[in-house]
Amino acid sequence: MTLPIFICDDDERILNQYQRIIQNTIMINAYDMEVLVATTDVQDIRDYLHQHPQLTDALFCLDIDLHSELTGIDVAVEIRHRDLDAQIVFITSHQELAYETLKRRVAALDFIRKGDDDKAQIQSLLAELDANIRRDGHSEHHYFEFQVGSREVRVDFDAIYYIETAARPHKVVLYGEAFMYEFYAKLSDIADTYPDLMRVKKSYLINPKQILSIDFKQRVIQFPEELSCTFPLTMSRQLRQLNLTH
Amino acid sequence: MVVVSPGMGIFQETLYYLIISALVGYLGHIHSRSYYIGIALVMPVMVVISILDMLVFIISFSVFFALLRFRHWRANVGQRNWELFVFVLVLLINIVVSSVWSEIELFIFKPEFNTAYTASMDGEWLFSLIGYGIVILATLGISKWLSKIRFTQRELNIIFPQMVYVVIMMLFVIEFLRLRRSQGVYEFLVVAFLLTQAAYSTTRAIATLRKDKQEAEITSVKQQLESMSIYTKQLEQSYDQMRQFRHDFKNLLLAIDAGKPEDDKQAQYLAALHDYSDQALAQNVLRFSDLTRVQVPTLKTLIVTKLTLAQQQGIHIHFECLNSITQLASDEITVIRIVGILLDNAIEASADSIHKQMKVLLIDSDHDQELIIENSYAGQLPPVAQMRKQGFSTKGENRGFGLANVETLLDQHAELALTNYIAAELYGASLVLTKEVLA
Repeated sequence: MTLPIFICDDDERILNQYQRIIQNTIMINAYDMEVLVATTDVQDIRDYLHQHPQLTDALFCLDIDLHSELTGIDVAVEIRHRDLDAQIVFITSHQELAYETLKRRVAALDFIRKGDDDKAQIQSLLAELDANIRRDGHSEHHYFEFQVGSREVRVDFDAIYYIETAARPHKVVLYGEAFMYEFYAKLSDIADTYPDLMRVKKSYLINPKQILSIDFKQRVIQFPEELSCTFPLTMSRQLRQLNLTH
Repeated sequence: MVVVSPGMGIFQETLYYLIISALVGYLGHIHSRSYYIGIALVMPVMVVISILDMLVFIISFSVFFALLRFRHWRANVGQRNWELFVFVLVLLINIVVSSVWSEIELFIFKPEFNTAYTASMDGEWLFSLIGYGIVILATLGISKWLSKIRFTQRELNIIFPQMVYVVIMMLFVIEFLRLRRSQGVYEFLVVAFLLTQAAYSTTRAIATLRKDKQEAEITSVKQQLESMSIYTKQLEQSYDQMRQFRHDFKNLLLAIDAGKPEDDKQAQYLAALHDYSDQALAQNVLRFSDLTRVQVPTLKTLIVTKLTLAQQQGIHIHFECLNSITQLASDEITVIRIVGILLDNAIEASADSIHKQMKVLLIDSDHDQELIIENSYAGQLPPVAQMRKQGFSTKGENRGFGLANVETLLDQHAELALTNYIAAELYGASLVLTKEVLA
């Protein structure tokens, strides 16, 4: 599928320049990409997305002007809520920009710094996207998605060790390869959404693929990073079968 | 029931004795075998005593319990207090349920005079069994409820003597009434009166204690912040001066640049000066420049103070506040207290780590305000549940309020939510203040 590209910058010269660079780069390298909308008004992008609700997996290059109404960021947040797969890149001219905030708030892919060899920045960005498309373009990537605070988080499903109910009510804690997240959810809902996870006891959903070893005597499942969970006797048979298939 | 009806059968008395002992053992987390063996050994004696006289039974049972457990109590004071608390609680609930239940019993069966306790009536057996069931359920229920409320030691010091007093009073009054052969409604009234009075005075005392404590904490937080705000103002002024200086300095450098020195050496020096000023000024001035957007004085003061402290400990700080924050979407003092604790924990953890990194982000949006504190840490983190209870800190209680206090504060404010995470080798805490949805 062709990667649709949206560009927005309120400075028409920069917009035209960027559009030209992007289109040339696509042409020269024969990338499977296309500039769909290039505009000075973000509202055009909003309208377009509204008219094409099925559009996903697009690249958005948004200008942010910290001194005005932060419109670029608001749109980015909207886009992120609409589509977790959207690639968002900010065009910025500010040194003091809050990169960390944007990374967390909208999971920004990258930043293009105005006037700092724009062409090279855009070229490497498109090359990276192209590589990504080629690598896992058609294979469905398996993600685990949830909300922490007010932002959407997704992690590689295979990286999950287990999920347990938290000490705080209505919360669960997710453990995985070098990460841990606490968020509001019900274990039973997660079990329904992700049938690959295994409910070894009332408060634990585990990812069988990540089991390091099982001690049937002590009834403990060992995960990487010294994490472990116990299980009731009734699960022994099921876990033994699992272990054999590995 | 038992307390009021000494004529009951041996079987019922035995069952009663076993239930009390088991409840005390179970709730008191008594795992030693000697307790249960001791209970079993003296069972015949105790049952006989309880058939003869309830008051004597309770006194001798208490003494026996103390003798059995004395050795363990000397080793562990906390365990002793807990076991005594459970023991008195079990007795109290037992007496109350008994007297109420026996009233209902008398009311339902309306026995002929003097035949009330002969245990020969139909259904009376079943009735007292249900009574035991209620005692067990009530005890388990109440103890579960009590464990949910986090009582402090000082509060327990109020509650425990009250319970002991009520139990003793009830026993003696009931015994007195029994000797005068006028139990029935009187006993019920006395029990109700004692219980209400004790419950009332205890709750009053605890409420006052908690209110005083909270007020003291709030005043101390306020005072601290006020004394720090002068410092913050000075600091901000010096930031402004630095910014002004940086601006002028850069302009001067540019002016020299325009003059284009012919000497190569001079040009090199100039370039070095450029680099140096860029680095030095960028680090010192820009690091906290977002602070001007934090327009809540208390929060600003807190952040400046804590981050300066962190900087002094060699921690690399990254601070961001993209949009201005003029007002907090929750109770200011509560937020300040929580943020203070979170910052303390983060500073302490990152100071111990190798990379000594800390990121503090304030994010204001239409729906909420989010405060993110991330820090590097050393080694393996304890499980989250354990951290909740004791806090990150391992340095004893004097260090102030741990995460347990944060929990209490969060419980009182529905608009506040705290979540923790670990990502990219940083431990993070995200405090979200949900803005009120305007209808």
